[in-house]
Amino acid sequence: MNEELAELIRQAMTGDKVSFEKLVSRYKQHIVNIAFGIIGNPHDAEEIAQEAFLKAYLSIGKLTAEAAFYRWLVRITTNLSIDKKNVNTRQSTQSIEEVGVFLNTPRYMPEAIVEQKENQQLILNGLEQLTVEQRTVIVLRELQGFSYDEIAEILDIPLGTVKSRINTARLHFREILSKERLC
Amino acid sequence: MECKECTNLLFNYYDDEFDTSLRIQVNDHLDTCSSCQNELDRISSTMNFFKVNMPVLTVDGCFTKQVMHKIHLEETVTIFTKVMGGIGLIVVILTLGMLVLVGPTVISLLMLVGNILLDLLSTAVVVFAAFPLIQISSSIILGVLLLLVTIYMRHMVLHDSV
Repeated sequence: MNEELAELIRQAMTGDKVSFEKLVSRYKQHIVNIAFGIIGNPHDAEEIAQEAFLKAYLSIGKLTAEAAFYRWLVRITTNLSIDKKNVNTRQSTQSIEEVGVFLNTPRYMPEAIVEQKENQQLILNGLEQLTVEQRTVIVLRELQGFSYDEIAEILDIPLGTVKSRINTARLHFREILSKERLC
Repeated sequence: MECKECTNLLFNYYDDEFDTSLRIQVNDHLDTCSSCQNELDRISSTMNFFKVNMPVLTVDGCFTKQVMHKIHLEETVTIFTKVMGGIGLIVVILTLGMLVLVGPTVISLLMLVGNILLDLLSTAVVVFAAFPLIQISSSIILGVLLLLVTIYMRHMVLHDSV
């Protein structure tokens, strides 16, 4: 963590709103996408991310070290997302058109766009078939790059559980994708 | 190392989440076992497919403003709730204080009135006997009502903000 960021977090911990606003701007993309990965609905994801930041601001005094800020924020987000997902268990998979996400493919390549959209839909459908615990670990590990230790700390579960959950999630996910696409 | 043992370690190997000696053992096995190597390639391929194709949400500049607005509202509501709660508490304390301080006088007056009423209507005895209880009940109801009004107003403020 660089000194500038550490100072920003330190200021936010004293209740400085300007510093906290800068932290929101810095981490909003990550937080929204963690929530989206877990619950699969963009509107709920944005709402959860806002709630997570609000909760973080209101309880930032409890934070003991600035280095733990991001993991602590992710922990709040995953808890809120898991709770929301458990409430919306019957929610159907979002179509990629509804999600309206950013596509990397250049606009002058319509065929590539179609293919990317199909692949994205495949991923969303696949994630929807995982349990919320499996979705959470796979998002934290694959998309956010957290280590096993960090995931254990974020989810407050033993390291062994993290390993087995990641392995099960990947195997399940691969099976699901294999049915629709040869991996 | 046997294939079964190696397969069980492949995810950890893929994540680079174990010590060097174990990594060397898995490396050695992978060099000689095409089946395990293929399994590792499949894991890698699936996870790459996931990373590349997972939709990414983009958040606009309004997001930060909305968060800060929510923070501002929450702080306002918290202050409002504290003030209202304080006022409610003071009113309840004053009411209870008045009951304690002025109570005997009020009860004496009421007894007088009650005696008059008793002369007029014998059934008023029941009402008179229950009066101190009614006083206490009223103060509790007043306190609860104040609390409910506070909660309702807080709800209204939050609802309007959404």
